[in-house]
Amino acid sequence: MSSVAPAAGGVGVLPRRKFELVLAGMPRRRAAEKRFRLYGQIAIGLGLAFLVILFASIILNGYTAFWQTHIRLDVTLDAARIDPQGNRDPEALRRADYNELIRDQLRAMFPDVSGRRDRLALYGLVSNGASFDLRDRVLANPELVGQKIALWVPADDDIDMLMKGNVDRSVPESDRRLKDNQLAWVDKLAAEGRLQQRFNADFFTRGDSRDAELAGIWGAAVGSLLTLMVTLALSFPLGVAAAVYLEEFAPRNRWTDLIEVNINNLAAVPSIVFGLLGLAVFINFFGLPRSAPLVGGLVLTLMTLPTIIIASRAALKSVPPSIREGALGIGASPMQVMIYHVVPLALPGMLTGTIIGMAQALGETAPLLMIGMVAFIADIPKGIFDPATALPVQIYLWADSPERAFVERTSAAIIVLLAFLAVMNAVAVVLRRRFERRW
Amino acid sequence: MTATQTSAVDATVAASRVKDAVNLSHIATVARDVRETVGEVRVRTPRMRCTAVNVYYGDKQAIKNVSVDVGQNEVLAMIGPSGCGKTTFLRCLNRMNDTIAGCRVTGEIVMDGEDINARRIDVVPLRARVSMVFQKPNPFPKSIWENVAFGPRIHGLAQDKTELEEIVVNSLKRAGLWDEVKDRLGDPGTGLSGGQQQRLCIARSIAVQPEVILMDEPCSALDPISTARIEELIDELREHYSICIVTHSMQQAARVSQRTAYFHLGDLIEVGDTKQIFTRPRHQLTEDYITGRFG
Amino acid sequence: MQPSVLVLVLLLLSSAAYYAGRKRAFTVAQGRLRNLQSLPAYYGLYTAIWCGLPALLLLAAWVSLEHTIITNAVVAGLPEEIRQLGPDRLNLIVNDIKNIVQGNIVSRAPDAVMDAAAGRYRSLLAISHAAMFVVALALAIGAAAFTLTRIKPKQRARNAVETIILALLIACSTIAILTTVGIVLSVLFESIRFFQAVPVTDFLFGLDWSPQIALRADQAGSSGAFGAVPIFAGTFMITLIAMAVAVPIGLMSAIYLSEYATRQVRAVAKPLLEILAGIPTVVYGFFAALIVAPFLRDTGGMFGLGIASESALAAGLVMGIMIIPFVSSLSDDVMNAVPQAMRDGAYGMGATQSGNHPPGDLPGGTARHRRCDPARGVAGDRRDHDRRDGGRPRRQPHREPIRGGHHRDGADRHAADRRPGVRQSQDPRGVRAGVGAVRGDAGPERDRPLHRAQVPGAV
Ligand SMILES: Nc1ncnc2c1ncn2[C@@H]1O[C@H](COP(=O)(O)OP(=O)(O)OP(=O)(O)O)[C@@H](O)[C@H]1O
Ligand SMILES: [Mg+2]
Repeated sequence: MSSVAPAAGGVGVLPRRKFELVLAGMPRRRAAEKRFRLYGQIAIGLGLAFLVILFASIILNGYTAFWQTHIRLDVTLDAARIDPQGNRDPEALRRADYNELIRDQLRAMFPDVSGRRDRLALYGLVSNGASFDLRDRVLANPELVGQKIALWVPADDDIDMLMKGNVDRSVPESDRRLKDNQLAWVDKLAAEGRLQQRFNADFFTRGDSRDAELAGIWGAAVGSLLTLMVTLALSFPLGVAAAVYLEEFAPRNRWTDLIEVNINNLAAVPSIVFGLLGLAVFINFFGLPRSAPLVGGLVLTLMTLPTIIIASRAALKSVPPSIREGALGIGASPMQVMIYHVVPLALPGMLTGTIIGMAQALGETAPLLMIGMVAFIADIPKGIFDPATALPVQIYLWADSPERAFVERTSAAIIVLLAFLAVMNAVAVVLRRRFERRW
Repeated sequence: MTATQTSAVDATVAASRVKDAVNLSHIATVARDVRETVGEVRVRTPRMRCTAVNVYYGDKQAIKNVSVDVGQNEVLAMIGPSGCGKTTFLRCLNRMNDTIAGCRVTGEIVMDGEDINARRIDVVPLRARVSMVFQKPNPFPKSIWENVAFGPRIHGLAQDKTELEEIVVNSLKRAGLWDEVKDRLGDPGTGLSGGQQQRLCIARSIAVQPEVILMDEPCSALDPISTARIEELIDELREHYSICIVTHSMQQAARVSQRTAYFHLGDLIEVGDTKQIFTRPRHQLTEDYITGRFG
Repeated sequence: MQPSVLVLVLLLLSSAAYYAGRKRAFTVAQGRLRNLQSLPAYYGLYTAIWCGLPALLLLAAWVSLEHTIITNAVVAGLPEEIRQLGPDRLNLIVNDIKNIVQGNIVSRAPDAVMDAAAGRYRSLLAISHAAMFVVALALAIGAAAFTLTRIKPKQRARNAVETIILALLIACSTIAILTTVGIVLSVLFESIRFFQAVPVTDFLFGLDWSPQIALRADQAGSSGAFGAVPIFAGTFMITLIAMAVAVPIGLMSAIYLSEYATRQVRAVAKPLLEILAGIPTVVYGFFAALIVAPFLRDTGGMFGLGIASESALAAGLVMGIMIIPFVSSLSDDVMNAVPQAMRDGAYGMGATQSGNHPPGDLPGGTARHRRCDPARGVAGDRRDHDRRDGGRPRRQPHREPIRGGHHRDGADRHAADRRPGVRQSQDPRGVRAGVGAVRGDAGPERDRPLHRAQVPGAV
């Protein structure tokens, strides 16, 4: 370092006065240094604090959604009403009016409630889904007909919020969703031990619903899964093929440069633009069904391709050239070298890149909004042509709902989404650690 | 510009004389640029015959007008100072230079009556006939068995499993590695010692049943004992193959080869019987090099 | 017959063709592999490709065009008065017809005309599928049979197969270009349509944004306004706020992590900060609406400021948090791009670490957007990247001994790889080139001190 030498050696020949000046400035400079360090620590602290606040607020808001207030009803399964023929025909059992049974039971528990409005308020304590639960129970076990069974049914979301302490009773009645008489009934139920927080299985097994207590993420999760499957099935082979071509076979020319510039540009294009593209090309031009995981997968494929290509190229680059030479030297064709030696060695790196791309795709909302995966869909999608939504879009939808109970569910869905992302990234890290080779 | 023209110009004004001096010196360098090869370039039974081979990396010429024969069942050693183009020339012989972007080869390299640089020649079978062992041992990161079996498999040399096994075992035996690895054929080839790895690479290249084996400083990464084993091996292999070996060790060249070629800055300076080259070199540069005055 | 069934049939045929081709190769070689120019499997693949590929391509083209053609035919057969309707109404009717065909719910009660049209659609579709089936199968079988008869020992089947595979690889890499073209075209056409309805000047300079277009003139909200100035202003404001949050935090934390922090702190803090970049945007949005906006409203209220819940402040703040890791890795790159010699020079002249920093680093560096390098998507990935650079000189050995090791490896490999020149010729520009990826220019600069260091006494 020739430039350093004279300067370093210069200290010795520094005139005495100047040297003292430097020394005198030292404390000031040390203090500045310390301050600078402090700023750095504060910055990191702030960054981490944001992270903690983000996670804490989501988890604190969301974990309660994994439990749901249930009401115990002792329902008499009157054979005359649900199975008039008495032959336990499943079709007849399916069509029976279970709602009426539940209402009867509620009326029996609160005999002094009268008047249409009050009765409706009373029925409102129990979720609309209760009758379906009852029906499923009966269908699963027709022997129950004629018996009196204890049934835990989900409470209405307002009751749930009340029991979780999210409703302020001091607010004037007119501003409350739960009226005073309902509060009294709830208190009575609670006193009788008929209210209980139970594990919210519905949240994990149901599709979307207008009723918060019935809304689940299963539909969105299946939608996400189908979408990701399409994405994976397309983007992995396409990405690897493109990377292999560019890294192993492409001659250096304008066309190759053009492709590379395009790939790098696409990596920086905002994701919503891919949604626009999907809308214009896949839906409007090719006439593929709107809201379908197929189209979502296609769009996300285009979005994640640059990621996968760039990561795969990095993985291919890390395979030492000596291996290619060795194989070429005994007469393997470039294609054989690629298939037998290079790609297997680069595969872990390619998979890592693919998983990261998939994680990116899983968290993506904007492009899916453009292709109509934002519709309210209560059914669980059965295939890639069915209308579906995806987890992040479900979060987006729920975040818009005014009910307090949806805030909780949104946060819970976010927890689930983040858990999936964490798992995927962890797999990517493990894969990299396990298979990373040092040449 | 010819000499007569130059002398004509000579008679003109002083200013143009300066210019011509430059031109003259240019001619001189060009003349010195391509040297005649001293010694017996041709042999009686050639396996490969190279004529006027030039190699360019972009604009830079790395091999200049080299003509030489690789004889049947002989070991041809290539020596010369670093960067003189030994590797480059060696890689011409099985067209490994094709893999380098910007590398251009001209001239004729004939094997079995065909120019291997001709368009219609498929490099893949060519490289099976002229296989290559590299300076750094580069076994595939697969099992020892797979390393050796890969070549025969892709070239369809074995009709069935037993034949393949035969080829693998024979190759390992010929490479002198069989006794050391026979109990662990499933272990990764990269787990062997450096010398064993290099012998594995040799086994790998003889498994494709080549006619010529190219070796680029095969012992430069090895200890004396491994080196001695490989030299022995080369001597045995000569029976069936022609071998071209690049080496920086004059002793090695003297020990293993029948003919030696001395390269210098892209030129083939001298080629001839190994004994003659090392005892009575005919070219000054060769003598300087082998006596250690240069290089 | 469904196209998916046909695909299956074709795949089955292809695999049969593979075995037939292989067997044929054995036969023509009289059972000796050495008589064959390529391995029998290549003859099989060659036959299979000729059997499957043309038919599948035909199938794809057929399926993608079929609906358009049939729709046009059906529309042409509709009664005159329906065809006279505007394109929008006609579109609705066509959609209804398609819905009837697929047995979906229809927006209105189907009438006789539409039922008839749906019937015609169905029958045309059936004819089309049948024709497709016949043509594709004939093509597949014919091509396979022809290929089989042409198999000869001297045929270069491997070369042919590899050429086809190469063509497929090229096609795959061309998708990037097609995507770009698609994006440009779709955005362009939509914009043109938009600007036909709304004058450009209104959009660029209008001060009112209420994007709605009424279907009928008498509808409520028929007065849409498309002045984008509020949007631009909002975006600009949010960006400013986000930068105000992210730049100081990101920059300072990058400097701290790379210059002062111990290895342990770095190993923990850096991945943690990078988590911020992996959180989906929708989560940030929810966080802004749920936590940040109310918090700002309440604190603003305490100081007598009326901060609305939808203020740009909340959005900007959260966006700032979101991009902290981007800014910080960006600044890390910038700092690493400062040549080691310059740094040593600064130390040599008695600079303290911080004194060395802002003036020395920032102008010397270059910028690169983090998203361009997804290989770093997982926390703590930087190292791979560094190694790919062939070992970038690192300043402080105490900071990251592991890294030091890495880059020594890298340097060796670099030196070793240069020789055969295979990889060397394809320069690392690939990953670098593009939008913000202008880091390569610092490359030679970075390499130099390394080489000097390798030669003893080079100073
Ligand atoms: N891939 C390449 N691109 C450009 N020039 C190259 C390339 N490979 C080699 N060269 C140049 O060609 C000349 C001959 O190189 P070559 O590798 O053949 O020398 P060598 O005799 O094998 O040297 P060594 O004994 O050190 O192995 C050298 O000047 C070298 O710089
Ligand atoms: Mg060499």
